[in-house]
Amino acid sequence: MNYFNLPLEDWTNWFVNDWLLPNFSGFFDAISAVLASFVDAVTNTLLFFPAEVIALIFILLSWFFAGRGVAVFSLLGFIYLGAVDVWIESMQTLSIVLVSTMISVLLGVPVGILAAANAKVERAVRPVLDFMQTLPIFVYLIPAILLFGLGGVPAVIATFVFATPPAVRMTNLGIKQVSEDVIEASRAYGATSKQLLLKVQLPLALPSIMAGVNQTIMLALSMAVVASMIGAPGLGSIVLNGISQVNVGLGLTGGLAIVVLAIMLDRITQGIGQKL
Amino acid sequence: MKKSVLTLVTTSAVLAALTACGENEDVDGLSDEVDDGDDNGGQEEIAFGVTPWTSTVPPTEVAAIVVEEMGYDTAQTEADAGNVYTGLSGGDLDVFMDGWFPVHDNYIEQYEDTIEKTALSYDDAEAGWVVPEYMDDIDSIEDIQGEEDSFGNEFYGIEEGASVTEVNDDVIEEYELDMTQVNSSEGGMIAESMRLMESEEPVAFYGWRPHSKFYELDIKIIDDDRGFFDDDEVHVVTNNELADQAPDVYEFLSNWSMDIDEIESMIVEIEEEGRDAREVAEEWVEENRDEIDEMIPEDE
Repeated sequence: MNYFNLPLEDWTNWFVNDWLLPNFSGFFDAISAVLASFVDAVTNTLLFFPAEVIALIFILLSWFFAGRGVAVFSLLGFIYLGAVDVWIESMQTLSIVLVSTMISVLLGVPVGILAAANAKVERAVRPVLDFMQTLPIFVYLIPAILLFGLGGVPAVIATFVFATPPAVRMTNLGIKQVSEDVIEASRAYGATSKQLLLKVQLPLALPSIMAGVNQTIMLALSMAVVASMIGAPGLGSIVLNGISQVNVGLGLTGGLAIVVLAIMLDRITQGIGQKL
Repeated sequence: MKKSVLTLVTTSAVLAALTACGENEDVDGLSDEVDDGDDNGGQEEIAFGVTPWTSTVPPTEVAAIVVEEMGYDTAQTEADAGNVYTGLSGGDLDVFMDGWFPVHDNYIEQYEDTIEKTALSYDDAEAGWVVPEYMDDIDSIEDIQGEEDSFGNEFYGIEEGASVTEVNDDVIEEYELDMTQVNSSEGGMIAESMRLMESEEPVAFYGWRPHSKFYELDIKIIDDDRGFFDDDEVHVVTNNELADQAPDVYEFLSNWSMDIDEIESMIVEIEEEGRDAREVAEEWVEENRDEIDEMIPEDE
């Protein structure tokens, strides 16, 4: 099959080392600084309040959106986080998850809306999403470090790439699922396209969009361990620590904390989706 | 260079390491399943553990060629150090050509009943803190004292939990440096250092030889007057049962020794010139036939 030689390796290396880095390192440094201060601000806020206050907020959120059972689970979960002494790491992970989810949603939902409104956009977006979801993370992990430095920022970028597709897809799907009759009725009452989108399609698509947000958060959490390999602090580094020392117990301690956060965030966002 | 960094991190992926057993089709030849009474079937498989470190590849390939010449099949399974030692202990792996001591002492202690250091490969592996050559004023770790600011108060290490990670923390404490160690992975550390070296900024990270980065980057290992980083010894580590299962392989490996320079020269050929590792190793075996023959046990 080797009909001709494709120097993709050389091209990519040239592109990254000889063009992208020399010409745009200032630009990427600026993005990096902004994102870093954002992540730090969220982490510091979460760590500023006593653990009990944060726990209480999440327990109340669980109760309100997901019911008493989940609230009890959250309570036990937070007691676990405290008891195995991983509070700081949990908040570091949580802040990376929150920031990358926020960016994913801010960029993903509008793209999903555009894709639902315009078949051409959808055709263009689809392969990009496939690419983002299937390209092995480690392929862009190192370029992310070269561009953004070590730490929370490349982790946010990598998580964004991996976790955005469901936000786009579910938004697209949700809007398309709004039934023709409803749209016709709105049009008949004289709704403009803007009104139609904001007052009819988006509200009706909200459960689906929230399902997308939920998936985004789950994917973001699943990146925690990978993120720690590029220097992001948090629960992932506890797991990585456990793995490289063959310390099964330590690995499980950190891993369970990720599960606790995941289940809690999953139930809360699911609950929000259903309540809306 | 980037290519090696990419391959490194791709392979050093701990996740990959965790699933490596599942992915590697060779694993169904687990050594303990293979010997079912057939004393010298000639089809036994010798499984080599391979860590993502560049230093592991050349000796593993050379040893694999020789072991194949002796009539065995070979398999190579990639995993990170912890998992390689676990695999050796459980018998899934037979040989690891790149055991670093005293860095890996903890694994030997943990699995002392099932694995053993079989041969000393070389004893002059340097390791320590590394800075770029352009930092003229920094020649020892002590020189960093008072200059931590310019380094952004950060030192770059390899993975969280690696034994040397603790050593680096001890160094920071003992020299009273106002620095924090940032841990990621070998590839992450090198990529970050390269990024900073691009603009000739100060950077300090952990380095060791043999490693091709010493050919690609202008960097130096700086002095450590307090003896944290003595030269390391590299040993061949094998599963205890290898001596019974494949006595000739065991004897060959216990005679094993290889110069650090030879290994580095092979690393450079593989990484710099992008040559096939097996090919480079075959060439080396051809050129150093005498040396190899001395390690191979006489027939009967």
